[in-house]
Amino acid sequence: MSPYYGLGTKENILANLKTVVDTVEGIKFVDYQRIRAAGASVDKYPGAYINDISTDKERLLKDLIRNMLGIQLILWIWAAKDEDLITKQNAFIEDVKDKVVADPTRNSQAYDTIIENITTDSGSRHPQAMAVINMMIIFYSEE
Amino acid sequence: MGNRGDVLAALKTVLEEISEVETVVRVLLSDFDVTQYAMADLPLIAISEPAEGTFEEMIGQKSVMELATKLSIYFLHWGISPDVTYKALIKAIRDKLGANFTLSETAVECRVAGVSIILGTMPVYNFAIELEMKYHLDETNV
Repeated sequence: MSPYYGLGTKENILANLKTVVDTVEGIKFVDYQRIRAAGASVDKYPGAYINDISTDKERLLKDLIRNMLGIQLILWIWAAKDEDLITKQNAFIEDVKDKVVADPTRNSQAYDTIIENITTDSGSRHPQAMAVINMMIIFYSEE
Repeated sequence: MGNRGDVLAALKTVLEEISEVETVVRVLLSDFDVTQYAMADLPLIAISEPAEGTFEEMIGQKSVMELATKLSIYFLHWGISPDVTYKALIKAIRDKLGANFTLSETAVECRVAGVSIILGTMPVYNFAIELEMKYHLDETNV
């Protein structure tokens, strides 16, 4: 019996997330395991950092494990002088979220992708804002 | 005439002949841990140690004994609904026991007393089949 979906690897899932976020219209920069935009030049906004923050494993069989992969997508947004920062921030969050949930199986690598919450930096000031999308990706692996 | 050991050994042999089943084991339920088995071992049937009692006392130190056991059946299903696999396994097991209800003449009868709903979560599911078996015991030979 071949898997219907859900048997994957963390590396392939992260690579899929990067591929998907790269397709968000207007995005300039996507990287892994970063927190702050400090040092990034303005031409790299908007950007997204894909951070894997936790993995919970549950052994189902000798060679089958259910993985709960916690991911934080950190988004950085820059508004031009004549743009409304919050409007731009919300639009960017919506675009990223829509891309991520369009295929919750991460190209058949995961059982599901669940967006748990989205937080924004209430202290954001023009021209820069940030947001964090916390998600849980459930996948199965042999190791 | 039969005995408990022969009945259970015959039950295991009969269940091993089911083509859809990969593994059959006899277990103490308290010892059983499905995580010790691999994907290739499933579908797996675990035969738990049965409860035993006298069904009917007969003359001459002979009696009909009753064994009540539970088959725990574990299977893999990667699709949306495991119902198809669940039903196929129930049918295969019931057909096999129905075609050999004396368990190779070690028992008077072996019948299905009940089938549970599907338990577990994707992709490892399980369900239980309650079995009742009877055999003639000749205590003069014990």
